[in-house]
Amino acid sequence: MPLRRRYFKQSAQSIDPISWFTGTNVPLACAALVVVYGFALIAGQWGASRAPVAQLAALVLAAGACVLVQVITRPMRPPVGWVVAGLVFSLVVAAVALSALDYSGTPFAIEFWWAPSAITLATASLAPYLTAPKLLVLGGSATSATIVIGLSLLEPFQDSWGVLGSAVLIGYSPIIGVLATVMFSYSIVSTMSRMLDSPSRIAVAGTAVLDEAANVVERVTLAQLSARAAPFLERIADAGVVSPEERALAGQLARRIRDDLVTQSNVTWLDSIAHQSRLVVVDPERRALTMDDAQRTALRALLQAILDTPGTDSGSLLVELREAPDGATAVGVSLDIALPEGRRIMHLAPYLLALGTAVEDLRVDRHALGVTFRVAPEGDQR
Amino acid sequence: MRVAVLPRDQAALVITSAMAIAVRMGSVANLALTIPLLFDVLLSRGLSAALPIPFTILVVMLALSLVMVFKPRPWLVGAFLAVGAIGAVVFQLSLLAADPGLYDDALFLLNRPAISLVLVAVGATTWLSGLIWILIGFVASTLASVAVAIIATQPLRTGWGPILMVIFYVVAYLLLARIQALQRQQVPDFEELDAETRRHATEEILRDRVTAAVHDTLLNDLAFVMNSPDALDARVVTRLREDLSTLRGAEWLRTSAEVTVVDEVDAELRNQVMMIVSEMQWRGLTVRVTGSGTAVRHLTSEAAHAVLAATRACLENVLRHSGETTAEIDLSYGPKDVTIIIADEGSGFIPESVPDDRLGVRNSIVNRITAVGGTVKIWSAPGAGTSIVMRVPAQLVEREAADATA
Repeated sequence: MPLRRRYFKQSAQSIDPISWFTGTNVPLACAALVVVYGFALIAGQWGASRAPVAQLAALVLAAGACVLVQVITRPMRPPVGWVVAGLVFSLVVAAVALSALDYSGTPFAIEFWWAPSAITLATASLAPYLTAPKLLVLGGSATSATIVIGLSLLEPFQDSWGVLGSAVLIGYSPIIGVLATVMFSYSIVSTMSRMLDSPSRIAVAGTAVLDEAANVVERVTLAQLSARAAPFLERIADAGVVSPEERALAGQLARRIRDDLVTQSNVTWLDSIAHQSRLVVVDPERRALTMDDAQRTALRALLQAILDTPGTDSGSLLVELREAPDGATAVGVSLDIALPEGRRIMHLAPYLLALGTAVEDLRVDRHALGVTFRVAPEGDQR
Repeated sequence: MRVAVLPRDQAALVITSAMAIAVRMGSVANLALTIPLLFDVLLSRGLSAALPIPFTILVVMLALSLVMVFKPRPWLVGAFLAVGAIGAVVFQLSLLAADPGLYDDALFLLNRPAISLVLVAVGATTWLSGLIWILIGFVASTLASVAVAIIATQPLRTGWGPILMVIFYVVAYLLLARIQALQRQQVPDFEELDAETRRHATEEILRDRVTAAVHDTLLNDLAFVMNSPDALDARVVTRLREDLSTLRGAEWLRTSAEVTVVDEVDAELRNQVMMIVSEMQWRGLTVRVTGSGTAVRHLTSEAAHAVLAATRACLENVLRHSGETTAEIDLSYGPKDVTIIIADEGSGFIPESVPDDRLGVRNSIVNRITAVGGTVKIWSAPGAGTSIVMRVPAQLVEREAADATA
């Protein structure tokens, strides 16, 4: 897909999920602003309301829409689609209508109407989670609806402003809010897309990496494999003769080296992690080797995070890799963990989100910690 | 391929900059919406004569705001604040001169340019710099309102607009700061993890090289000792010492793909093939070398080493398992690759039936060649001999030459 078209297909959250998984609760902050700002203006116009309780109910409805955004955007929830986002905006538009109905026919200063700002704040609460076109269409529709409702119910009773002025006053806050959030979303997606695709991020193993790895392999693998045979052969070469006992010893050493070589050849990167922890790996077909660098990094990070989680029985951590019928690799990770679900998910969220960028069909069992995903067959990886 | 997650510092920079762009977009929208409001207010009051000055101010400020959206240079933002502050004062004074009652009835219109002064943000790279620019803008906006109050001898009225904008964006920047602080505590350094993965991948390749090298040296030498006569020939002793020296030096571990093989090395490759052939003949295997093709190919040094080692391993297998005393090497050149066929007419075997713990074929031949981007095909059947076809990519076809065969 051309890069420019991709800018409109992704949200700020989908291109950089880790920035938005936590914890500061942007939608809740928007809900709080709705309540504070709305209540201040309702109180200032208390006398203009025929039934202030209707304004308070509308306020609760508008704040509730932002709270709904908070709920639907918790970590590991599916992306926010048209329907759910439409529901959020519908709630706010309902709050706008309820508020307008209450103020209709009263001497009410339209520039102090709080409800249009609820559209702005609801749009802001969805800014990280919706694509720029969705923000524009849904926010624009809600803004249009607000203007129509305001003009229908409030404008006929205005003295200071004409129809055009009233329309601008009603739409002022939501129009600015929608345009600003669309720009915010587009700017993040376009900039990050370019950065993620930048060739400068595709680093290659340089000489330093090669030297470091060579030192490790030389010091450990080569030393282990040749520890007994090399001195033996040196002795033979020095002596220039071979005794029957030395022939027998050569046979024993050859068998041992052969076994070691077989073991060495069958070890995957996942086995190497298992050797350093109590992690259990079931990978009879050595499918771990089919994973690319990004998948290995993301899975390794997740496993390390799980092993570092307090209350984790690392011996219960099981990673199982099987070939799927289509040639892909199905991977399952499971363990027993004592941490409560909420804290567990928040703790592992960045790792799960990173893994989600590298694999397909990532599914998380929120109750018993279990993670499954697929690694596409070679040549079919994204 | 790396994990598609930006380093946290970079992500924070992008999000903060996006916030600043959103702020500047807010300024553009504010000024654009003020124009119809101005027309509505003045025309509905019959004050169309007062339109030109405030309208011009709005257009100038709007143009500057639009430029700032895409080019938020500090000098331009500074100029906007200076011009905008003067413009906000003149805008209000010109309208108040037309109708002083607007100060009470249409403050919402009067303070719109002052609101745009709040909505400035240079290409903010940190939440703090974004916040500082918003506050500077708020000060400029308030000063403009103070100036209007003094000049028009009216009580100071900034209106709620600038204050609400400041509150909204201060909350937004503080949220951003909080998110970024949490991120630094909770999110792993994927750059470092990526580097580790690359290091592990390199180690994997090197371990394969070690496995193949140990197989070809130590294991072969031990097998030779098991079957040797009591007194070792000087050549055998030399070979043992060379193998041990190879393992001790371990320079072959660091052989990297970056080294380009040039003509001299091609000749060296050919010479080394002939040395292997000579050694095999000494050990009882007669090897006939043929070739075809008319160009000079460059192989990477890694590919050249892989070809040599795999060829040696193939001939070792012929010597040990085929029961034959002759073998044939055929070197041929395609447009983009080099093909080496090692064939014998010995006892043969069923390739599929080779157990996994037999490392000779898998590590010493197949893995070596595939590691350099080549392919290996094995044709063999009991009693029908064995042909191993190894094809490695040529890095460059230098020139066509009639006598370039090895």
